[in-house]
Amino acid sequence: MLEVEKLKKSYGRETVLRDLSFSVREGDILSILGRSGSGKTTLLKILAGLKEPDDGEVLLRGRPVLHLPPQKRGMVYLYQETLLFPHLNVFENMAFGLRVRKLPEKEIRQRTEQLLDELGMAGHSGKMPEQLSGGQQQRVAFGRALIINPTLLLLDEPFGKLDSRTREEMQELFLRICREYRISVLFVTHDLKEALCMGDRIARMEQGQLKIYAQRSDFIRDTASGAKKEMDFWTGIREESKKKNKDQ
Amino acid sequence: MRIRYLHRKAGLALHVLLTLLPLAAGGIYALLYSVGLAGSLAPGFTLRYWDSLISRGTLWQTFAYSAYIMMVSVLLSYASALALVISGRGRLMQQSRSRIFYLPLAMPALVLAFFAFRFFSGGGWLASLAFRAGWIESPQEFPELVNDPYGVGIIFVHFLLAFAFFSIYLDRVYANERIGEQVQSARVLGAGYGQSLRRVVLPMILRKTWPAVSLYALFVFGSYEVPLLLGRSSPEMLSVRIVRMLSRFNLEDRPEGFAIVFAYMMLSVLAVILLRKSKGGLR
Repeated sequence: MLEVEKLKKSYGRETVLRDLSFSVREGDILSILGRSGSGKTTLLKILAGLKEPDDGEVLLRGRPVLHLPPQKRGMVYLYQETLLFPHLNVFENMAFGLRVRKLPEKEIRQRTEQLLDELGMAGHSGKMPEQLSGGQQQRVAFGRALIINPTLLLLDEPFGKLDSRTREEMQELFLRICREYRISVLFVTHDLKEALCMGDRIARMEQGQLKIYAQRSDFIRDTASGAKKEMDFWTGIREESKKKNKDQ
Repeated sequence: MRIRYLHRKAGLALHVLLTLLPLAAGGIYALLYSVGLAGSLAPGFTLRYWDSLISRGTLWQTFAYSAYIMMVSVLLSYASALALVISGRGRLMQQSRSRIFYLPLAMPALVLAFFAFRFFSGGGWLASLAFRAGWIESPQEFPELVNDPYGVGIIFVHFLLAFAFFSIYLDRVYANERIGEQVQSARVLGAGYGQSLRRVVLPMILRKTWPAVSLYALFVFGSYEVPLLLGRSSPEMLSVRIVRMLSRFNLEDRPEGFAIVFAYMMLSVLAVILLRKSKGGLR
């Protein structure tokens, strides 16, 4: 569905993407892990049309898209911050993509109300963004993207600023909706657990290249992924508490 | 806790004492003077000064002319600064050329007015250039750009000052409100450039800046030095008229001057109250 071929991007002397190639299948969620500054955001912004690559090609359902402006690519990029429009209420934020497409008022109302309901935001449609909690704002941002039926969702650490409980709720909601609408997703995160929970496949970005693991077990086995170290840490904690319990 | 409370109360009392009290005293004095109850020749309560002002149309003419200068100079400068900031995407002040925006603000309005006079008057630099180029044969042929009935010179100087101020202010708002990223959000959701301007950039900036713009407009409405140097005696801007009437030899003119002062104060107070009450206004 998405094919990226030999994508290159440099900022001055620093090469951020180095002949990067990969593909994503229809309805697939690809989790991308990587350190800060490894080029994850640059990759997503190039795909969304918000930055230009130095070279390479991007095909979406077989159609080259790099020459298209952002609004014609069918990909929605979501920032870590929700960036809801502060002058619009929840309903209008959600309906934004439909309004700019000049759909009939009745259809806008029906589709927006349906999605508000599905996201558990039906009672908040008249509220302004600053009256919402972080999780609610994230739901609206998510709904605002979903309502236009994007071919591909590009998520840049979308739950990074939420507390752990809200984060788990949002992960569940996100997975349910993505499965229901069969949306393909590139999900950037620096959280190992989140990457494992969310992705059908997992990839790791390093030195301008993307390494995609065929199986989760491959990812865990790769010492460079840090998964093994993380698991050992938690196993150590568990062993330690077991030992303490026995001693008591 | 108690000390902090006392500090707060003392601060409030000082504010009332230094700003509100003199203003209120001035307003009351102006009202009393305008109805013949204050001043060395106070005849006792009368509305004849107000009657005279209103029936001659002087009050309306002065207010209308000041409002015209205010509207044209503020709208022109705001629109130009907005266009510049949008095209610079909120990065104008990050560049070294940002200094040129601070320069007009650092200059007294009177100095700018003087330059404008030297530049645009019949005997000024522009007229002299036109004369040397053979476009005019005498200074009288040069179009009136200062001391003219349309206030071109006044508007020009206010434009220079306000354009610099609005450029700096709007640029800061553009960056602080992350409008560049909001535009990107709108674009990926399907908005074209024009739609993102209409639906995101303009509403966001207007909503954020209109209280400050309104206060600036009030400041232009009551400006003194610039219209004093570049305006003419009729029509005349508010502050110039007030000062002229209050400093006349004929003491009978003073009550009318104070009537205009009082009307102006009431208008300003009303504007501030409306700004405070409106959504997104002064807080």
